[in-house]
Amino acid sequence: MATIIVLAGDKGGSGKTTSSHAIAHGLAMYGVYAFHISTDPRREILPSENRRYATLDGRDPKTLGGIIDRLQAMDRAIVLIDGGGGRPDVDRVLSNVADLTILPFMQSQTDLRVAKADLDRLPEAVGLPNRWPTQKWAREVADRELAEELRGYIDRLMSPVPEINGYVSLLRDTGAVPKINPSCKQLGLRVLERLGLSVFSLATEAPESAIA
Amino acid sequence: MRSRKLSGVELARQLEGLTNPAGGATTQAEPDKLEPTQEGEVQPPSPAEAIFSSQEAEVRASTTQGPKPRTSGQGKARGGRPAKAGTDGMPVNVRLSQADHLALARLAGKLVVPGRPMPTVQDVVRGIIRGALKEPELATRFCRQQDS
Ligand SMILES: Nc1ncnc2c1ncn2[C@@H]1O[C@H](COP(=O)(O)OP(=O)(O)OP(=O)(O)O)[C@@H](O)[C@H]1O
Ligand SMILES: [Mg+2]
Repeated sequence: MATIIVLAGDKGGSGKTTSSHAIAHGLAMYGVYAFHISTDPRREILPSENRRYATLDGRDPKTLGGIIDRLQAMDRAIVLIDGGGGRPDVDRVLSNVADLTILPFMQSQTDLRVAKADLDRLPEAVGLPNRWPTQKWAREVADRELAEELRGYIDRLMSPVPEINGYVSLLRDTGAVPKINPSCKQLGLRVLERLGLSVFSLATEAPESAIA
Repeated sequence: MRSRKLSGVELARQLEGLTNPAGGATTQAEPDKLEPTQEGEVQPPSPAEAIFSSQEAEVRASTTQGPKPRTSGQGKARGGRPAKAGTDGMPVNVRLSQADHLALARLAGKLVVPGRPMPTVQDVVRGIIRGALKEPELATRFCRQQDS
């Protein structure tokens, strides 16, 4: 069975799309067979040409269902599903196909409040502090706000992803710039570990069933 | 890891059961990130798309005309569609049939070396071209065979 990871969250611009591509790219760098499915009707599908993972169009529910069923049958594949903000009902349904649901959020009161509501609504999801400050005092402020707003949810948070220079290249036709490879690989590994998986159990020659 | 997951069919059923599966308004969607769409333009299928049956592709083609992505005035086209020309003015994308893309995806899968990154489709095509240049007679024969 393929492993499915859903990037969800009600708040727009929290990094769902970017993080989902980052994870797919990072894992593909390890030779993992990765797929990215966009379900956001407001976004065009990014082309596969310059990527090491396939980008699929899951904007139509029927097509998405068909894609999922096909990918489910593939043992070593990792599937990233990008939700799209402002659709709590869709998030809830999508999280039901997921092995892991990740809720990225950035450093703002709104993000924190929305993240809290999302964590309540999706009891199996984990929060991912994204674009998290690294500068000492800014980080202290951010951490303090997080600790206050998400008291009681701390165990459901992943370690933060910092501001990554060049991350935006993940959403371009030309694909990821090499300098972000280490960050993407690291994030990919952290996600695998959350799932109790490793690149050893996934990285292999591509399953023939994927393309047959 | 969760043991009991929805099947794709069940997922589709539940999504369609939602009042507005396409989704309401986003909290703070950045308008500058929305890509303009040109009418009547058909995207070439990606190799991944080739995995799926043409029947599904038809479903997709007919439904993506539904909720049009919003446009932001004269914003430059990015994402979603391969560039028509590179910086030097040379065309950078070639239109291929689904079957051809499928063949490319299959080749990409065959080329994976454990412990190494997945090759991109670009890598595969580049390899084919360079190989053809090294074996011009073989390449010529393959191309001629196609015509007959
Ligand atoms: N860790 C990061 N470092 C730097 N920039 C980031 C980071 N994460 C996201 N961004 C930037 O933030 C912006 C919004 O990200 P993205 O489009 O991924 O959000 P989203 O949650 O998918 O939004 P939407 O809800 O509209 O789909 C993008 O410009 C992206 O490049
Ligand atoms: Mg998005």
